[in-house]
Amino acid sequence: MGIATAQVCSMRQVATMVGSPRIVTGRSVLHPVGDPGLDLDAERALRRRILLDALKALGSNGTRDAA
Amino acid sequence: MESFRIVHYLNQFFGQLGGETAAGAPPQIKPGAIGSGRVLQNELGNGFEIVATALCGDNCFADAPEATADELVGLIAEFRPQLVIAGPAFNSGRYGQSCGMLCAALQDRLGVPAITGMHEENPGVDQFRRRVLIVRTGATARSMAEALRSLAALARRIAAGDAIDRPAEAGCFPHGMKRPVVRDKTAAQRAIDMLLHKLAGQPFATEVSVPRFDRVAPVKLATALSAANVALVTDGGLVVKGNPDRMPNGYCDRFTTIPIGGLERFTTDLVEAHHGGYDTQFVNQDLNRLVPLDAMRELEREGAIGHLHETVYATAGLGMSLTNARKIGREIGARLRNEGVQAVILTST
Amino acid sequence: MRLEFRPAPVYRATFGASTRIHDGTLTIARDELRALLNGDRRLADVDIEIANPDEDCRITDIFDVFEPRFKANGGNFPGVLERAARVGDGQTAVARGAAVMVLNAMSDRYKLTVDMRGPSARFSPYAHTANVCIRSNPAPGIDRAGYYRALKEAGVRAAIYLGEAASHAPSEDSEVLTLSPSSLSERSTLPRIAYIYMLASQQMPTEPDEPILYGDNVRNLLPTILHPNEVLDGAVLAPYWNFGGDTYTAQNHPMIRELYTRHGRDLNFAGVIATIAAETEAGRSRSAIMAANLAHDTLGADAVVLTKYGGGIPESATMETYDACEALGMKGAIVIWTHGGDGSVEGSLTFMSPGANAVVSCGLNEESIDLPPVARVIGNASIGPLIMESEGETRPSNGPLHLRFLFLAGAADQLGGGFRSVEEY
Repeated sequence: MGIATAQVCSMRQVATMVGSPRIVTGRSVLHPVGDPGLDLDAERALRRRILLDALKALGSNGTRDAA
Repeated sequence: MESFRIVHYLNQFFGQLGGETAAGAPPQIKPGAIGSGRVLQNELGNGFEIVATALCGDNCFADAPEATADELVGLIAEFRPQLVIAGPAFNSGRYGQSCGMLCAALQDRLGVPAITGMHEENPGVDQFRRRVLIVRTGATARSMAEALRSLAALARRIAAGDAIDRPAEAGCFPHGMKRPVVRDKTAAQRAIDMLLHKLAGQPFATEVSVPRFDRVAPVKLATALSAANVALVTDGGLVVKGNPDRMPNGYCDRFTTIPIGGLERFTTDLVEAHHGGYDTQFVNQDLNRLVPLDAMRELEREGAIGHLHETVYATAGLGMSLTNARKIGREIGARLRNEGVQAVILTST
Repeated sequence: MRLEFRPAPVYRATFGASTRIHDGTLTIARDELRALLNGDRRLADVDIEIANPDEDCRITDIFDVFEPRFKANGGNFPGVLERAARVGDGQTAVARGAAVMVLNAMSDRYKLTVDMRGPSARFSPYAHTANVCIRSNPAPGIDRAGYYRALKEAGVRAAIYLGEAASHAPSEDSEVLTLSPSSLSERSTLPRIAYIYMLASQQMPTEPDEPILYGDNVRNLLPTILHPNEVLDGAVLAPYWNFGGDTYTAQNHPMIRELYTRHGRDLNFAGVIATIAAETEAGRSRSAIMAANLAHDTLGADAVVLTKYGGGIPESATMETYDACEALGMKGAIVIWTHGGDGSVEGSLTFMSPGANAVVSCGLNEESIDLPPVARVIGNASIGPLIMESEGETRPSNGPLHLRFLFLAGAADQLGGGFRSVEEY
């Protein structure tokens, strides 16, 4: 039995090219699940939102554009 | 002058041992040319001699490929060939596999050039083209005469000492490899030339071809998320502070592990990002921006996931070769499976 | 715009009483130039050294390279020392054959090297220029960004100073580059070709005061149209992360030069669109769409040629821009580097668009060259570690050197000036 994966990636094209089944767009190549431009609370909320998208994608069958 | 010595390899069918019922025939070798080998001998003409024909059933080869190839190499070596011609295998999968494997083994162990022929849809093409010269043939034995002519032409070039630097120009599948060259026009000149040809609808040759990738079927999550053991993985270069595994920050050939058991969030005294392909200052201020440990702990407490796996796996994906990427991916996957992980969130930079 | 280059040829440089160009020799008043550069309090221990073609000499730690230029009516590297001014028009004196090299005393994984003779000379234009090298240390308390800004200013100052000497020397044939709005819009059967020029990649974010385009740091640059003369006349400087082309390369931009050469003959040069590789996916998409629209609907291009700058993320940005252009019916060609990977054709780029069928390689990243020891080094006593090298991988600067072409100054040209390439087989 394989392992279900979701990829948080800021270079969606790269992930698509190599056939990553569940791709969630990250914030930036410099900080995929954060943003130094936000205050701490907003940054935490952003991180949580990206992860919730990733979890939602994990629960799906695996399309290219899960979230 | 002594003739150029060639050994020919055939499966049970073309070697006249029998049809599918003889597919289990063991490796054997017979002096001289057999069946299509006689036509090949005619095509080769004077100065070339098929000194022996090696034979093996397709199933026998497929059941124990390594051992069978070994045995055939031994049999063939006794005839001191200067070249081995296998097949052609056309679009026959098992035969193509045997021909490719035998050619590769002969080159590796005896240092003897070995060539074969296949149809473009034969899986053996992709499997062996990198290492073996494979002549393009039709799909079936109906194109035998033409295929033998191509193989004979290639054999004559090899006998003459031609290194076949450009397989496509010799009627073969390209190796699918690349090498550095110096051209006589600048890149700007070449790009404009190419663009003008493209605009005019004239032929042009790209210098970098579009790759084909394996397609991995998506795996469905086996359990409910609220019961799943979820692991965090990154290619953004997370390492334990001080990088004790000495993971390279680019052109990486390995991965590292970061234990997170009992850890609420990453702090800069415990871990750091080590990656040469992007400016790491922002993630090094707060490593949770790279691997979201704090938020995952929150979700774990809320029951959104069953359990957060206690090890983070990390590598640095800068200029990594596909060979290393596949190897690292397989290794991490195997470890995670053994550790009972059902789902992974991979954060990429 | 009508730009007239008035080149004074330089074959060698030497120190002397006063700065001037005579009979192909650039004579430099060392103390005067040193004093000029020492006026910057961010720099300490400023010194000038010279390396001429075929000398047994290696220059290391190169931060950037400038061609000496002077515009008597102003507009010298606008936005750096002086305010933005119109460039690309009028006369510009050039000390052609000379180069100013600014050396970086701080440790940095991206520094360039050049040998003035030997096996690498055929790959680097700077083995054939008379090089005026500026060495310095950061003054106490000066951080990296402050030092790098001071290095750029020192390079610009020296380039103007030597360019002024060129303006007093007799010029051989002057060269006129003109591309007027009427020639841009003229009806012609020749295909209209626009050039999409990536100035920088924000995967290494530029500093707030990093001068790249008229002094702007292009941190949030949206695609914009430039006249090719602006690029050739000093409006564009290399980023601090010099990874693909020096300021000298922009001043002699290989792609723009080639398009000019063929303008009116094989093609109609429709103009230049400046862009960046943004760090976010949204930013890259925005830039791709806007650049394609400018090429198609403002410049009226039939086709575009694209180059990239920097590392791997720009590969994605370039491909996305290419796709956006082809989606509008324009044809595209790309100049891009090639990753070696495992040697197979699959791993040549981190991203390649399935439709990218006209791609020119500007060389294999992993390819190296072996350089023999040299008698004299201008630069730090040791080299490395450079990018892709392990911690502690340093070696003496004067010894035999196994160097990636990426770090051979002028040979890592991503703007199309090199002859290196790959062949698939």
